[in-house]
Amino acid sequence: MGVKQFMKNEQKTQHIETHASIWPLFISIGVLIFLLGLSGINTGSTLYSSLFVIGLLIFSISMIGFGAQRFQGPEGPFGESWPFQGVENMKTGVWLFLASDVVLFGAFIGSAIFIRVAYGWTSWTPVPDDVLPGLINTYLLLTSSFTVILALVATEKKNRYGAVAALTTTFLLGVGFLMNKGIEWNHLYHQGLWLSTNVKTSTFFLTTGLHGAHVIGGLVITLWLIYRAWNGAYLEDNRTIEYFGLYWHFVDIVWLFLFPLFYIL
Amino acid sequence: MVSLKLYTFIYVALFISATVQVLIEFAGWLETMYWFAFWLIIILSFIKALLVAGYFQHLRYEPASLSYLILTGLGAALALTLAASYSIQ
Repeated sequence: MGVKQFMKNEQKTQHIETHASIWPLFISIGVLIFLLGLSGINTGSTLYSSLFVIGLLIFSISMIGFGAQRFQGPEGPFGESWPFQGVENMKTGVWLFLASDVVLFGAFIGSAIFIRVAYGWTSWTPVPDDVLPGLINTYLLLTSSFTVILALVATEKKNRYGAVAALTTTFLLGVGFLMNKGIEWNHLYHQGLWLSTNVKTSTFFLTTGLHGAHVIGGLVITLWLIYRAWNGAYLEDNRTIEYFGLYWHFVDIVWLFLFPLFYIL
Repeated sequence: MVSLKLYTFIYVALFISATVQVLIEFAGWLETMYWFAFWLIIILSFIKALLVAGYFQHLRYEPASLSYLILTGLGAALALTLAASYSIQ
């Protein structure tokens, strides 16, 4: 190929992808303001609670803006080539995200283990004095994982109401998980145990809190899935539910380790 | 698609296994033989995680590269935790 031809081809293929989006910047600003508000929300000051709400609003609007934005991605077999041949790009993407989430949780759980080893593993007792709320939450989360599978099976059988029912059950079980956690946290708070009480309670609230945040994120997605399923989506193509399931089962797996580590051992 | 029967079976197994973890505590094994009970509970958690990842996330039926991807993340986190904890032992 001559240089001229090469340049011509280059010009033809270049700059069809859009690389820049303003939304991640706004998402970060929203998170900053949200966390700033959250950091002082128990002072009862209106400034902090306003920052909390404003930050949450900016974050939510930016997330929706980012999600709704159209962009040109590079086309081609990049993701579906070695070593991920036969795996759809979006699925590889979900797994990459989950791998990054493994590292995120790894950091939190790892630091909790490190601090406990430094303290003396066996002289450390779990923060909650009662294991039952944790066990009930395990049941709730396991069941909600199962109902996501039921939703997937329902879409395969072209059963629209079955899918809506299974997803709604998933949502309610997730809400139950959070309510149970809320009751437990409230109980601990009134026992004088909170984030800054000591390093043990810090690791407990931070790690289970990070997990709770993942549950909240999953529930927001579930609401969207219910809305879409109600309108008849996913009966022809249920990959969205499958990929949401990958995330939701991951949140389940994390809890399978948090539960013994923070409640039993 | 794997049969719903298998999924239900795994769900029940997970449910029972979580209960067993708590029963180990109720039986008082954590007081009498802590490290045995500890490893029993941890191994049960790993088995449960493998069941969820293998069947619910159907990694068993995907190309192995996806499993390696996740194991890389897990390996890194575990290596750092173990090395850091060992260094202060």
